[in-house]
Amino acid sequence: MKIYNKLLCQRTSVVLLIILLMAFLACEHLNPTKVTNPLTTDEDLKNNSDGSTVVFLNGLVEICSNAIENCASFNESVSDNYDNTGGERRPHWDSPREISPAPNLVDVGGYHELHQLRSQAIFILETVIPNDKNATSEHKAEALFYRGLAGMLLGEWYVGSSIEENGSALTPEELLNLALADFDAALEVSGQSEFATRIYLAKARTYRMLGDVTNALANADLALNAGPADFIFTSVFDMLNNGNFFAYLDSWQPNPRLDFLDPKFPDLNSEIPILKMEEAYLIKAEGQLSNADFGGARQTMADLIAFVETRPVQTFTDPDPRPDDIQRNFGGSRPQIGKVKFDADSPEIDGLILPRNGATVSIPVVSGTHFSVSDINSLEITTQQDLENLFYTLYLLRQEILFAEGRRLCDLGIRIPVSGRQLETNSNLNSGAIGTVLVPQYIPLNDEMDWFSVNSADSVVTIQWDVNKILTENRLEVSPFSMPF
Amino acid sequence: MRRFLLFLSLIIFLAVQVITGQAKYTDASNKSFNLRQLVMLSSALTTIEETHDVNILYKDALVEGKQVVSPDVTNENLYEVLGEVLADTQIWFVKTGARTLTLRPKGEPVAPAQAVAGAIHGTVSDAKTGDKLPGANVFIDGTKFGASSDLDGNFRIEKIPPGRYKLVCKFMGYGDFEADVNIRANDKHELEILLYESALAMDEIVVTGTGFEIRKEELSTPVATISTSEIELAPATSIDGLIQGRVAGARINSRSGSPGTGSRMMSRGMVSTSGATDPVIYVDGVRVDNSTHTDLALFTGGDYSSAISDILVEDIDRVEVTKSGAASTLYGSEAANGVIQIFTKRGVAGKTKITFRSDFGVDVPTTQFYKTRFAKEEVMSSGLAQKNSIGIQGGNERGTYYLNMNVKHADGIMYNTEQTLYSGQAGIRALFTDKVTFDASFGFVRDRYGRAYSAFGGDILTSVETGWLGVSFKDDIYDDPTALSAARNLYEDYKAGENNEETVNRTTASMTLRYDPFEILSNRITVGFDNRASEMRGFVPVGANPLVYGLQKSTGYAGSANRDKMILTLDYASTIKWSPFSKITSAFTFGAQGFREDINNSLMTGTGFGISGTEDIDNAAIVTANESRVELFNGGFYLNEQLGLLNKVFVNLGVRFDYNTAFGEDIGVQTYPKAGLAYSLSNEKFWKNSPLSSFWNDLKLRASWGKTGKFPSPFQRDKTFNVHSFMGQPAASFATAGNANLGPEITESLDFGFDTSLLNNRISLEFSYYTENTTDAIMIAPLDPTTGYNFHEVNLGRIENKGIELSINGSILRKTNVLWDVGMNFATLDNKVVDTGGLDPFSIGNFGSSMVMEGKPVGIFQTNKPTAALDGTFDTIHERSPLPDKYGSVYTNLTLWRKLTLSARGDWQTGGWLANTSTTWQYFFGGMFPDLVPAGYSWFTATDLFYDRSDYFKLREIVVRYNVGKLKKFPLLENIVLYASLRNVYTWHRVEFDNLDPETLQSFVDKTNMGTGGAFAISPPRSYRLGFEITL
Repeated sequence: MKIYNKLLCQRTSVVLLIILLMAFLACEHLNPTKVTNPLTTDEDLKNNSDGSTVVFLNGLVEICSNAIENCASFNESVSDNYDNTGGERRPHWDSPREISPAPNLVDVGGYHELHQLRSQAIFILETVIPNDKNATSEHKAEALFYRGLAGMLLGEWYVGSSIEENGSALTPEELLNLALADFDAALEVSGQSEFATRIYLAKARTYRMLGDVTNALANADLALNAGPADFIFTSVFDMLNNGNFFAYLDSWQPNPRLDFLDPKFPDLNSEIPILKMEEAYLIKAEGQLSNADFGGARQTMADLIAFVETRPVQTFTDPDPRPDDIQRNFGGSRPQIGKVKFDADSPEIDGLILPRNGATVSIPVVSGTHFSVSDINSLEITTQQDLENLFYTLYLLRQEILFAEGRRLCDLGIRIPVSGRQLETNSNLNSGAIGTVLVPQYIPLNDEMDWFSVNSADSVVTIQWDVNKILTENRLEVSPFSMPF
Repeated sequence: MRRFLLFLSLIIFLAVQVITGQAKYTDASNKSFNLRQLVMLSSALTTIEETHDVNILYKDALVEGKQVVSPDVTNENLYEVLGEVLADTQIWFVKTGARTLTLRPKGEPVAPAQAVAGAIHGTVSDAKTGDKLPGANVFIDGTKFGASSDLDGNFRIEKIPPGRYKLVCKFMGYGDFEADVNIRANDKHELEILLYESALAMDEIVVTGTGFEIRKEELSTPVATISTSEIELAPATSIDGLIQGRVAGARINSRSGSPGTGSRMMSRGMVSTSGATDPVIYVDGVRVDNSTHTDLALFTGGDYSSAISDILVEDIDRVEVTKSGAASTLYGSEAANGVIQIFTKRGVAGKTKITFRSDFGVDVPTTQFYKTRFAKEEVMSSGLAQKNSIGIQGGNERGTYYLNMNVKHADGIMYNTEQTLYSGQAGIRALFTDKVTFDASFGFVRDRYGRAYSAFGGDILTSVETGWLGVSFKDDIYDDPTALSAARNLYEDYKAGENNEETVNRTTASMTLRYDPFEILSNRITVGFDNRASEMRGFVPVGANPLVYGLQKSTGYAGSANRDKMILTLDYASTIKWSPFSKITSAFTFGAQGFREDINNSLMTGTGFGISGTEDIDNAAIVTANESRVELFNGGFYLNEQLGLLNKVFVNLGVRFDYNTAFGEDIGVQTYPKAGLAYSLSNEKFWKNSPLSSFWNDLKLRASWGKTGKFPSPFQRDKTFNVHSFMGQPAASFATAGNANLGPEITESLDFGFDTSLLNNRISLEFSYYTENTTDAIMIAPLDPTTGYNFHEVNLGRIENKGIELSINGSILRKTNVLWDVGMNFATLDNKVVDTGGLDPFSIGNFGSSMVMEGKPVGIFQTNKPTAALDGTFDTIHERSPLPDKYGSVYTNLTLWRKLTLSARGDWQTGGWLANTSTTWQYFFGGMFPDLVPAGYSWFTATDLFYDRSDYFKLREIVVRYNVGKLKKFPLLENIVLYASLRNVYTWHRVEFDNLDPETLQSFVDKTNMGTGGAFAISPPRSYRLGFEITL
């Protein structure tokens, strides 16, 4: 009887166990294996892409801003525009010949962001737009423009670049031609006039770099005629979520002769110009020089200055302490006030260095120059020296008007290598030409482009090298256009 | 996955059915079926003793080797059962007591009962501490006369036939005691047995590695244990400090002297280039948070609490440590770094005891690495520390309980380094019936830390040591009141602006139900959770010095970074122990184990308060919020067979099948096999009979092979997109590239070694040679920038680790009142990345110079070394490994009069290198070491000069403990213990400029970082403590 009871008890236990097990398995809330990825996955997008084009285009705008900020700050530090006095962002790159694609380094300049820009534009064109019934032709035009912009900037700044995974290297010319194709395609699908001006400016800039005077001039004129006259296309920043940290690089101190232009980006929301109407004038003037229309060039430069004077100026208190270069101590202490000699042989110019460290300053935040219209109008165009002076003035104007926008390296003739990570991850690229910085022989050694000395007795700052003089001497190499003088 | 679960459940269910069915069949069988198995007579007699509550006495020789039919346990008639079992033997039984039977060869005359009249009474005590040892097994060799010591260590063996005998006492963890005794009729023999802790502890029971209780002797893999007595002596307060220097092959580096920052733990090298080296930790069978890298260092430069630092030593009963390999195979896709099993206290049966503990002392900063008087005297300062706890424990043979509460406060050694801790721990063990045992433990910790901005560069110590913000802190400021005032003002600005604190709330609970329905079968199910919620909160008041905090923070800034991690564990195991053939034992275990992790991270910030006094984030002009969440499930099913042959050869075979939600969709269930062999040479007859055995007690050879895994990061398998706010609009961009083939890293281990003890167990030596080869190593591989992605996780690499581990422990003196033990651990490590899967060398960690490249150790530093010509050229070299290739520890322990214990312990490492960020900062901003970089070179072209050897020897702890015992004048006091300890006594090192503790790490860098020293990191302080423990 006891055995029977025991067996019955065990059998009952087994049945109860089964019922319990089934009850547990039936309860979905007890399933511990269910995990949910809180991010959007490609599966989510496949299921529902409607409305996502706009969101991805917003992302494109942000990537573009990151790329421009990174490229601009890099460009400015390497060039004679700024001296990196502290430890922020690789100070040794003040010496352009020290630029190298360190292992795993993503960004030499904004290399990674430019490819992010390009690859996301492709993703939008190929994957998002075809699956989004809310997508429009304007959306497509924007995506095409950004793909072109990425190509144009790669072609402008780098010794070359691949554009697909494990792809071979394209030359700057090939990259620029791809950009032109994208700009044309964008123009074709867009119906907006202001978008057209953006494209004309981008094409003028691209043709200039390709040395195509005719098309560069034609597109510059198209832009000037299409307007609006004060057209500007910028990278935008959102101080809450993604600010312009160029504004915070306190240890980056401007060349004393460009002091009056700094800080061009006073706060985290400050926009960095990418395409602005001033460049149409600059390209036109350079094209006119190339075409031996020296009078026309002088007039265009005068018109440009008249236009620049209409650009906004921002007045604010600047706490910048003007720190000395604590790394190299090449000269005297950082000047707070004084006259500037562009080199030892140049005259003293007053008013270029503004008092700081808490003083109120007025700074042009789009374009500025120390030249006036009358300065330009007084330029002679007769002798060889006059023409060289005209060229010198044009390149100084380019430096001042495009200051802090990441344009100077290109004008100096410096091309930077692809990133270390690009070399690591692409077996078709070796570290030869594509991994070597291209610095023309006329560029001063080490970081001497940033050197200056201060005579404390008369507060005169003497810059070691007037780099625009060097550029003028080497104008045949410097300008993409031929210079007939 | 659901299908997998159903499959798993079905397997378990069927297995239970098979076993219960088999048992039922045995139960239900009767004589007419006559299908009962043959078993060893000794085993049958033991069964009868248990089922019929009788004591059966016999000489071993009488029953040895005899097989009989298994007893019919359902038959309540003892004499019928015993008669049936003995039917075919030449043995019969006589009744010699109320519940005692004695076996005799058939035909031998029965001795008169009055002749069985001798007795032995005595106590069993620990020779070192004098503590009474309950549960020791005292018996007369070759007979069944024996007894266990009671709760007070007393034992009685009665009614022993007169004669000369060998009395033996065995107790787990202690060497055997043997004595010749002469028992006379009607005589009571008194005996005090002193047991010495066994250097090797072959009979110690461990559970890690095989899924059930097993004697260490039977293990084919090394499992290190830290015993209760070792824990009592340890001044460390958290588990990492406890293991430091106590486990061969485990390398524990204190990351920082900031409280609660924990240690970097590593055993047997780096098996991965992508993940942390911390072992997984189980507390009472429940997986707990082991993160030392919690990503919360938002306002501190680098310091944040480690989850292992709030696993408190005080409540730990014992610890078992496996260092990956076959011992960890049953833990599946998480165990490649090894497993630490912690068992918390359950209380000791006996009279209720209330224990008060209190210690107090001072933490003195280690200032040897600072150059300036200002840092030594004004930034760093000694801080008081106090800890009080009250505990109660007791119980009886049906159950025990343990309860302890603890409060601790330490002032810290610089501003914002104070700590306040409250904790509680409860544990119970209840024997519901003889077959059902219930264990439960519950613990909570509330810890609050101040957090100073440190170890980052740019912090106050960097400013003081380099003057990097333009204010000098050099010693000559003490001669210049203006300069001193400027320095102090800046220091005050730092202090005023830094209001960072971290709070940790942690709750851990575990419940284990054990059901042993039959002698051969035991079942165990454990459920539990570990929930750790931490908040790092930072506040910069309105008007804080913008030079220090940047423009954006001077208008007031507050942030709150929260992390909530929940781990649920479910673990079922069933073990069948039986003896299929004569001299062969088998323990077959099958089980299922799963855990689920849910991690929620969030960050809120507020910038711009406008008016002072406001601290709530939502009062700020700009409020931001970020969130990230991770979910993960890991589940597996395992089988383990442990075979014993002649109690000499032990074979272990096992396999675990594992599934993890972090695996890519093309990765299925993973299989982790293992095999091991242990051969106890000293159990051979020839050994026992040879003169060797008189001084060479034990020798066990062992070999094991096994695989373990390490799962990839959750959700890295998915291709994902980020959406966040930009210009007031949602903006999408690429996030993770995804990898459908993402699987676990597989670490295959081979381990050979031996364990031996000599000179009456006074000296033990444990040696292992190991290889740990990781295939499918997860590389955080850089992607071609043209894809638009940065990195993805991919199973590409192969990493090799090999080395030896040697542990020697010995008793130099064993006198009645003087015991002196010494010991050492030594380990070597040869680590190499064999294959990066075609990837070019790439860097890991944020410092940029720590590389993964073929043929070099993981994290090899890439440095630029000036050429001999010093002509401005340099070679880029890869010669500095962050991994020490030799490390170990030494200790000594002196016990006098069984009351006073003095112990000291130190650990060391050599062969590794350190990226010294202190030197870099001092060179750049302090104008120091101007001759370090030769003329014509820059820092960049001479980085090699900024690396130091990370060799050190640290005298880690000195402890004096005096067990006063019971005072006659105060009968209420059960025991009094006084103790004093000193931790982090001194550091010997080879850092060239004496400017960085080589043990500390730049804590903000990636979790793979092993050798980047944090600039001016806070070295662990020298902690003096005095304390007492009173038990009522």
